[in-house]
Amino acid sequence: MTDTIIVGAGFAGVGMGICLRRQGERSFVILERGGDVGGTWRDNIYPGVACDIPSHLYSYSFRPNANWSKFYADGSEILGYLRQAVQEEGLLPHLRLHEEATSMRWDGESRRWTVRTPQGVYVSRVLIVAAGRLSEPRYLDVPGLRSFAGPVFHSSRWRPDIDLAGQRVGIVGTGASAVQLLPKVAEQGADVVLFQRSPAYIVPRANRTYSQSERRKLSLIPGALARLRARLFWKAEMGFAERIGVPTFVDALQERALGHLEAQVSDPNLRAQLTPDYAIGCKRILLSDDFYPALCGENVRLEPSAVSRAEGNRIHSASGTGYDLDMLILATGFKSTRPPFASRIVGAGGVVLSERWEHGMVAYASTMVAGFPNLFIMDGPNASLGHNSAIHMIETQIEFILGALNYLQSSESDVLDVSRAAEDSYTADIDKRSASTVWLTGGCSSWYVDAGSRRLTLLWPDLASSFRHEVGTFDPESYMAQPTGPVEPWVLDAAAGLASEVRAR
Amino acid sequence: MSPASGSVEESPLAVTVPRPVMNDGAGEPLVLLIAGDGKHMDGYAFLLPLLERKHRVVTVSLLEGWTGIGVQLPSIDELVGRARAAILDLGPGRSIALIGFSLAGVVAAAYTASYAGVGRLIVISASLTSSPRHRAFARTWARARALGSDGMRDFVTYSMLSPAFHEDSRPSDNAAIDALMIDPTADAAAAIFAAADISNLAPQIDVPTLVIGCAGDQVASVEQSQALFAAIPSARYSEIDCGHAALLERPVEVLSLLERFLRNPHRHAPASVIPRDEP
Repeated sequence: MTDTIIVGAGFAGVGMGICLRRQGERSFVILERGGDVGGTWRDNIYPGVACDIPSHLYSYSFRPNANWSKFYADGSEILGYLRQAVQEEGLLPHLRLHEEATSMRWDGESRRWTVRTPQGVYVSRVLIVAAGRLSEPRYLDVPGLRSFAGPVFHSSRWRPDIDLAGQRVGIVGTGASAVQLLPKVAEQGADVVLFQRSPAYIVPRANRTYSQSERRKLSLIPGALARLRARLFWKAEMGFAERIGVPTFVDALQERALGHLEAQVSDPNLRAQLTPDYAIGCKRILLSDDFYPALCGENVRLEPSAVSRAEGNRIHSASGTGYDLDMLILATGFKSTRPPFASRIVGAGGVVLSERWEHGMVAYASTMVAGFPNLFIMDGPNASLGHNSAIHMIETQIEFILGALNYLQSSESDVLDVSRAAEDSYTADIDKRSASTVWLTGGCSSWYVDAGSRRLTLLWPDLASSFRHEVGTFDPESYMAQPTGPVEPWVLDAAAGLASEVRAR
Repeated sequence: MSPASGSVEESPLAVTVPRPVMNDGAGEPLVLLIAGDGKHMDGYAFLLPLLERKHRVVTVSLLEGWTGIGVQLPSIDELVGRARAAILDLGPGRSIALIGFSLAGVVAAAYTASYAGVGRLIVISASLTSSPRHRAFARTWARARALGSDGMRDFVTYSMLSPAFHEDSRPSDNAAIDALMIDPTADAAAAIFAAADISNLAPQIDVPTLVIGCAGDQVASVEQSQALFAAIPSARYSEIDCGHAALLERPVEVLSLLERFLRNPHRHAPASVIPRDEP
């Protein structure tokens, strides 16, 4: 039996593991369904994959890296950073690869979580789910697609074995993945069609490499990395003003985006098709310098409507146009607001988390759900951002969880559950803050908003710095810590026995 | 610029009471003192709407109506008087949180030392006393103004912003830089600020106070902000890594400090230095 099980070895799970280990904690495992660490950055290997947040901000503050090669790093460099972190921080002994948590169940009697994987059973006091928000591909569901004559694959399930050269390629979607991969696909494909339901606002990326002297300066001058990170952070924070509709900032950003479109696309018809009809910031704002020029290429066509059906190797659009294609790449995003892991988690009284979240994700402090004791969810409800670094949010959650674990350690109780009233109050506050944000008022449909309840369930509707100050410190008074006596030894033995028995099989 | 020169007339400030502007937020009003006139509000373009999300905010433009032609510069006492008139307009017996940046910070501190009713005081990029450096700044400001807008913009860029700010600034920041120097009220503010001395008043402030200094402040100087903190017995201090124009360079860091202080002014004891955020 271990003290803590972490599910997922992406940025959140690895960061959590590093901080536990640095505290001297050794009784934990990280269960990872894939064959490597890295989460999003392991899964997304499509050509052109890169980050939209500056490298020095999109990395752990406790593992600064003076050697980022570019202002915005490529996916492979980020994956390398995470692999190195796992090795250097001594996480390998804690890592269990190819172990997918198929069932996570709270047992009130033993006060333990039992996590089953196809390989075995793990039992722990604390369960930290860090399964990511960009983990489960959302697929296109249109008639005839299964019988499409060529390969059909999601951008996060890239097929390096497939040669794009001379092929007729369809790309579905205009989100961050599509915008990054289209220019690369267009370099090879004979004929590329981009199916666009609604266009994105795109601003210049203006990426640049860090010179050798810049990198040396960052590594040699004490405090230089932290100063740079702080500057980038506070600069990014200003983007929140655009999300709550402060006119001066919204206008400047919109001007920047539409000016970029005008500068790069001279054809007025194409430009009109690429002009969004919703408020800027409602959907994720994208960064690219090569997307528009690629779209203007002779071998690339924009279909300004969704895919409606497939027939043989012909893809039909909602506008009635048919395209003969050799393959279809689905850059259609992820199941973010309804994470599949929720159907695998069973809390007190046999309540399934996905049922508890029937009307959309909720959690106290964006981390704990009432009735799911000792469960911490990272990157879950209202823990993402539309304007700043996800890693800052992850580190806030790590701080919170460490506080909770330290409290459990020092107090009489070994069960920590948040009250429903506290959770409801937190949720009401989130709803109040969300109401005036562009995500709910901007007139778009986005993956930030729960499709059923129309609540903003993915994003934290405020500044990242507010999240840190309001959520980052664990306050036991807000929780229903349950001081309980020791568990009878036979109950623990039984739980541990089950784990070792199944593992030995 | 030389608003102090020429014939001395009655200050227009004596007859014009600044009109407080208030939104509909709840709770104890925040009174934001603005050193310039309405156009100068651009310096608060970020801070104000974000404060208004959660608070009832009243803005008072201390130099509203200032033309700079043939009139004497108002004194700190006069500006405190203008603030007093505006705050009385809000109704008697109200507790307020008073916020001021640069000259307005000096005025906010002087006001708090002179009148009851301030529940909390927040002073940003302000100084305790006048120094030769302050006076040299004011004289150079006046000479730069005489060079026209390009010369003025260069001087403002050079003096009010930190070197790091320019490393990742955008063209749109130029408009914000222009807002720092756009009208004669900025000239007046620079001159009054350079001569201000509140060393006698600061020790009388006994309400919870937050002094925010800027590490790269070439106008007030971080030493002066620290001196102001040290002179106010009830003050806490926090430092930001930016130049004088903190509201342009690091508005969210300022906001974050403000919000936390307003939520719980006693979280840090008087005379505490609040540690910097490490994002």
